[in-house]
Amino acid sequence: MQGKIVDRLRKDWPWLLMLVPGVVLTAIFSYGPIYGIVMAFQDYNPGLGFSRSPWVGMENFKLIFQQAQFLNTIRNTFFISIFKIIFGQTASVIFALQLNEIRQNGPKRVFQTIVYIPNFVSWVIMAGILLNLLATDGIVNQVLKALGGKPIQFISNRDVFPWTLIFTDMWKTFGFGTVVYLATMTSIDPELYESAVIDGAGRWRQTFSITLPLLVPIIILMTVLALGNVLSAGFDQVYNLYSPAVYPTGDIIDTYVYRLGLQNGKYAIGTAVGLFKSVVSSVLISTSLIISYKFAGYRVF
Amino acid sequence: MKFRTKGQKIFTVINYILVIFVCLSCFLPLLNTLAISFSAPTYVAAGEVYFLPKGFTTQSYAFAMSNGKFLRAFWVSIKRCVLGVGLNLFCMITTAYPLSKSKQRFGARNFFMSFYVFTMLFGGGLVPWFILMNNLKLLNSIWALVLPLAVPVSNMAILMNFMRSLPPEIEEAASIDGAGIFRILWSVLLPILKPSLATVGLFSFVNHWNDWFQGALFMNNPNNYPLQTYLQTLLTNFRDLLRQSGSDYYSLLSRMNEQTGRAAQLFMGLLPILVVYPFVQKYFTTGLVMGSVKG
Amino acid sequence: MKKLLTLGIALLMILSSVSALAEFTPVPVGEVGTGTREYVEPPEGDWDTPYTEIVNIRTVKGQGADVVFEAGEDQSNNEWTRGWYNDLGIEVSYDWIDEGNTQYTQKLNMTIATGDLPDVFRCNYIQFRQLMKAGLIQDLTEVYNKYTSDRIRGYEETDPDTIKLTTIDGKIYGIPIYYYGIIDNPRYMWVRKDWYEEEGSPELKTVEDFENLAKTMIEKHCSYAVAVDNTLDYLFMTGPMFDVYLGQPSQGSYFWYKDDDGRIKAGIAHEEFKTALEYWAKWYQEGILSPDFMNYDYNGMNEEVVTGRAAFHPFYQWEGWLNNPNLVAAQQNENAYLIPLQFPTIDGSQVLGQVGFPNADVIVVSNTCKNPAAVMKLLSYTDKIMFDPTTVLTEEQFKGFTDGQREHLPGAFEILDPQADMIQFEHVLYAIESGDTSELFTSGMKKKYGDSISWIENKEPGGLGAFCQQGFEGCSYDLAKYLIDNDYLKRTDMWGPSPEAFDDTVNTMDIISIGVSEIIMGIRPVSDYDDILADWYANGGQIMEDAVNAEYGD
Repeated sequence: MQGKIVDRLRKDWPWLLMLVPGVVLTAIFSYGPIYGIVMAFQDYNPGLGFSRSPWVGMENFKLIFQQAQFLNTIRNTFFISIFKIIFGQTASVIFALQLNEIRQNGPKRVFQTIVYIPNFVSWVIMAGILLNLLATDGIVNQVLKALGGKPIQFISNRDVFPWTLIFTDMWKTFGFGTVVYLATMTSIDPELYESAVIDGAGRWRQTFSITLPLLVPIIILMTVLALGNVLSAGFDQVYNLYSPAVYPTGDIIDTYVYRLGLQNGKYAIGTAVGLFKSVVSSVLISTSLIISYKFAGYRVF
Repeated sequence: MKFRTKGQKIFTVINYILVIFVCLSCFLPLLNTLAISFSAPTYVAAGEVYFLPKGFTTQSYAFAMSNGKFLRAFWVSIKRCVLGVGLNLFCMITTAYPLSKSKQRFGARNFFMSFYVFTMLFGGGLVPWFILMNNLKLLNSIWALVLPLAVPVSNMAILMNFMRSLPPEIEEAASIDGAGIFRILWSVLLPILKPSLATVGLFSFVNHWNDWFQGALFMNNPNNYPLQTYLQTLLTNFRDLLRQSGSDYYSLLSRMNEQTGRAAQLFMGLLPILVVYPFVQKYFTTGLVMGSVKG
Repeated sequence: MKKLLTLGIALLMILSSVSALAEFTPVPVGEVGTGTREYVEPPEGDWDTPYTEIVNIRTVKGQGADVVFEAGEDQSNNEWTRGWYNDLGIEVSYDWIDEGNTQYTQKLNMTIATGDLPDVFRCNYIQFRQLMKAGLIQDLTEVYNKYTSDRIRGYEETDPDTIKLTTIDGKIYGIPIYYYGIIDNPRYMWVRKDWYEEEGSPELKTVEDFENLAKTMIEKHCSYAVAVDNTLDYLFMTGPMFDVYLGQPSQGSYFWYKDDDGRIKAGIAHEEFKTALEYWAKWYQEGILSPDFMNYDYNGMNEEVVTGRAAFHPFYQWEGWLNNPNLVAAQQNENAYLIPLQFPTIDGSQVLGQVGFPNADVIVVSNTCKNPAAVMKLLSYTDKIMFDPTTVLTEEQFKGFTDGQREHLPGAFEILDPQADMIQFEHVLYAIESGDTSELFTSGMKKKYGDSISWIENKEPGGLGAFCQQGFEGCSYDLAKYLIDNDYLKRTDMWGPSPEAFDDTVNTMDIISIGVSEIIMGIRPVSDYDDILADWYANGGQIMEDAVNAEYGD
C-alpha cells in the first residue's frame, strides 16, 4: 500500500508541484472562511468569536423560514432566474440563426462584436446608464410615447421590475450565447445543406430540419449549465437597480443576505440564509453536471 | 452569392434590418451616454440629448481629470488588473494542465478537481471572509483584491477542456524528444493555447475591472478604491464630489451637472474594455467554443 | 505597433508590481506617528492639560464627501489634528474612513464582527446593545467624571434622559452625542421663493389653500408641485397636515405616540393616516405629485428641485444647504431658492411640530483601548472649539477648524450642545438685524453669521444654508422657535431608543411602504389599507407595539 503511494508520488510529483500555487491560494482564501459556516448554528457574539459563541442548533433556520419575506425572496429568485434562462437562450439562438443567414463575413464579424460588448460592461456602469434610459421621461419611454403607448415605470413598478431585470439581463448577455451557437453552426458539415438544396429545401426548411436539430444538444447543455446557477439571480444587477419599493418582487436571496448581514448586523441569520442557498445550489449544480454528462456526453470538470 | 428568388431577397433584407436593429439596441445606449457626457447641462436636464452632443463641452471630462479621485481609482484598477490577471493566468495554466490529464496519467486528478469544484458550491459567507482578510492583515491592501479567487474555477475549466481537446500526439512527440512536462507546457502547449488564454485572460480582466463589491468591502481608505467601487459611490454622491471644487462650484454648475459628469466618468470606466476587447475578439470563437462546448 | 504595445504592457506590469509591493503592509488611513498605544498616566490638572508622552487613539468615521482641505492638508494633517497634538498631546489615526457616509453602518458591522475594534467610535443603539452583550466596550464612569469638561457634564442637566440610556447598572458605557436641541426637529413645506412671491406670498392655512397654490404653480412654472422620493421619507413628512406623525420608512423607523385611549401606536396605525392616504392618492392623480416619484431616490428628488420641475419640497430645516445653492446656480436667478412655510392643516388649525427622540448615536470606547481618558479629553476639546463662548480663536484658526465642512472632521469626537442652536439662532438673527456683532460668542455663531452675510451682501450661494436657517424672519429656525415658544409640539411617546424586541422583527416597514405606494399610485383603493395594516400587525407590528407599550407606556 505504502509502496504504491510512493510509486505514484515518484511519477506524479511534477503535476503536484505545478498545482501548488493554485491549491495554496485556494486553500487559504476559499477554504479559509468555510469554518464560518458554524455561525449559522450559533448566536454569534463578536466578543467570543467562533470558538466560544453559544450554540443554538437550528434556531436561525427556524427563524428565517418563519419570515414571509425570506420565502418571498426564494420565489423571486426562481422566477427571475428561470425567465432569464428562457429569454436569454431564445434570444441567443434566434440571433445566431439570423447571423448565420448573413453570408458576408465582414458585417457578420462586426455584428457579432457589437452584440457582445454589453456583456463586458459592469452592472455598476450599466445601472448608471439604464436608470437614465428607463426613467419615465427617459429615451425608452419617449419612444413608447411617440408610438402612442403609455410610459412604463420600469424601475419602480413592482410588477414590471422583475421583467426589467429579465430583459436587461437578456440584452446584456445574449451575445455570449450567440458566439457559442454561431460557432456550432459554422462547424456543421456544408454537405448537409447542399444535399438539402438538391432535395429542394428552402432556407426555412434548412433551418428547421438541419440547423436547429443539430443545435439542440448544445441548447440543452447551455440551459442545464445555467440551471445550476438558478439561485444566483444576479446580485450586482439587482443591487444596483432595486429600491425598497420593488423589494416584494425584486429582492433575491443574495441581496437579502447582504441586507441582513451587513446592514442590519444579523451575522448569524445572514450566514444561515447563505448556507441554505449553498446547499440547495450544490444539489442543483451537481444534478446539472450529471445531466449534461449523461445526456449531452459533455464533461465540464 | 446570387439571390435566386424574390422571396429570398426580401428575407435577406428583413434579416439585415432586424440584425442591425438589435445591434443598434446594444450600441445606442452607450452612444447616448457618450453624447450626454459631452453636452451642456441645460440640454441634458431638459431631456433633449439623444445620440449627438448638444452644446458641446468637454467640461465633464476636464472635471474628472482635475479631480484626483478618478485618476487615482483608475490607477488602482489598472494595478489590480495587471496583478490579478497575471496571477489568474499563471494559476489557471498551472492548474488546468495537470487536471486536463486522465486519472491514469495523474492519479490524484479527481481529488484535486473535487477540491476546486467544492469551492464553487460552498463558501463561508461575507462575514467570515472579512474576518479572514482582517486576520491576514490584508485589509486596505491591493492584494485583498488580487489574491482571493486566484483560480477562477469555471474559466480554468474552459482552459482545461481546451487542453483536453488537443490531439495527444502533440505532447507525445515532444516527450519522445525527452522534454519534461514543464518544457512541454512552456514551449509546446502555450503557443497553441493562445486563443484560449486570450479568452480566459479577457474574462479575468473583465472580472477584475468590473468588480466593485470587494473594493467596497476590503478597502478602508477611499483613496484605495478601485474604479468601479468609486463609480458606485458616484451614483449616489456625485453632487458632494462637485461641491469639493470649493468656490468654483457654482460657476461649474452652469457648465456641467451630475448627469453629464457621471456619464463622462462612466464612459471612461468603460473605455479600457472597449479598447482591449477588439484585440482579443478574433480568438473568441476558437478559444471559447473549443473549451466550453466540445467535450 | 505590436512591439510598442508589448513594451507598454511590460512597463505597466513592472510599475504596478513595484508600487503594489510597496503597499504590501497595509498603510493605516492616518499614518501612525510617534504616539503610543500603551497606558499612559493622564497628567494632573484640568481635562485640557496635555499629555507629556504622546498618546495614540485609533478611530473610524463616516464623513460627507464634501469636506474640503486646505492645500497640502489631509485627514492626518489639519487644524484639528494639530490642535489635538499640540494642545492635548494626542495623536489620532483612522482605521477606516467612509467618505460619502453611505456605508458607515455596514462597515462598522463588519468591524464589529471581527471583534477587532478601534479605540473609540460612534454607533447606533442596536450596535450599542450588541456591543454590550458581547462585552466589547468599557465602563467609562470614572474617566467620564474625571476627564471631561464641566460643559459636557452639564449637558446631562439640560437633557437628563439621554445619558440614562447608556447607563447600565449605574455605569456609563457610552456618551450620547446629544443633539442641537429640539429646534432642529420640526419639518417644513419649502417653496420656491420667486414663484411664491409672484403669487403675492399667500398664507397657506388649509390644505385646500395649498392645493390651489400648487395647481397655479403647475400651470405657470413647473411639471408638478411637490418633490418627494421613492422611500416615502419626505412624503411622510407632510403627515402633520393631516394630524398624523410618521417616521422614516427608509430607516425602518416609526413615530410612536398615544392614541385617544392612551395606547402608544405607530403613526401608520393611527386612524388619521388614512386621511393622509386619501389626500396623497388624490395628489398623485391630480399631478401634484410627480407620476414618476417612485423613480426618484434622494438624489433624483433633489435633481427635480434643482431643475425647477417642482415648486415644493417637504424637508428638514437645513434645505438651505441641500438644494438652494444649486438652485440659484442652475437657474441663474438669485431669487430662485426655497424658503420654509409651516404646513397647512385640513381645517386651518395650528399645525404641530413633530419632535422625535433625537439621539441616534452613541460614542463608545472599546475594551482594548488603553487610554480612555484621552478620548474624554478629545470630546471636551471638540466641544470647547465649537460651542464654548469663552474660547478665543484667531481668524486663521477659526477658518482652519470650520471652513469647507471641516467642523465635521472630528467624527467620533463630535459632541453637540443640546442648547446650542437655539442660543445661536437668537444671537445670529440679532446680529444680522442690528448689525451689532459683539454678541457672537461661539465659532458656530460666527460661522453662521458670516455665511448669512456672505449671501446677503455678496450673493454667495454657499451662504444660503445658514441664511435660510437663521438669517431672516421666517427662516426655518424662526418658524421652529414659534412652535417651541407656544408649545405647538407633538413629542413622541417613545422617548428613547426602540426596545430590543425591534431587533428581531425584520423589515416590517416594507409591508407599509409597498402598500402605501400602491395606494398612492391608485393601484389599490384606500380601503385596502386595513388589510395592509392587519398584515403589518401580524408580521411583527404587534410585537413592536407591545414592546413599546411595555417599556414606555403608562
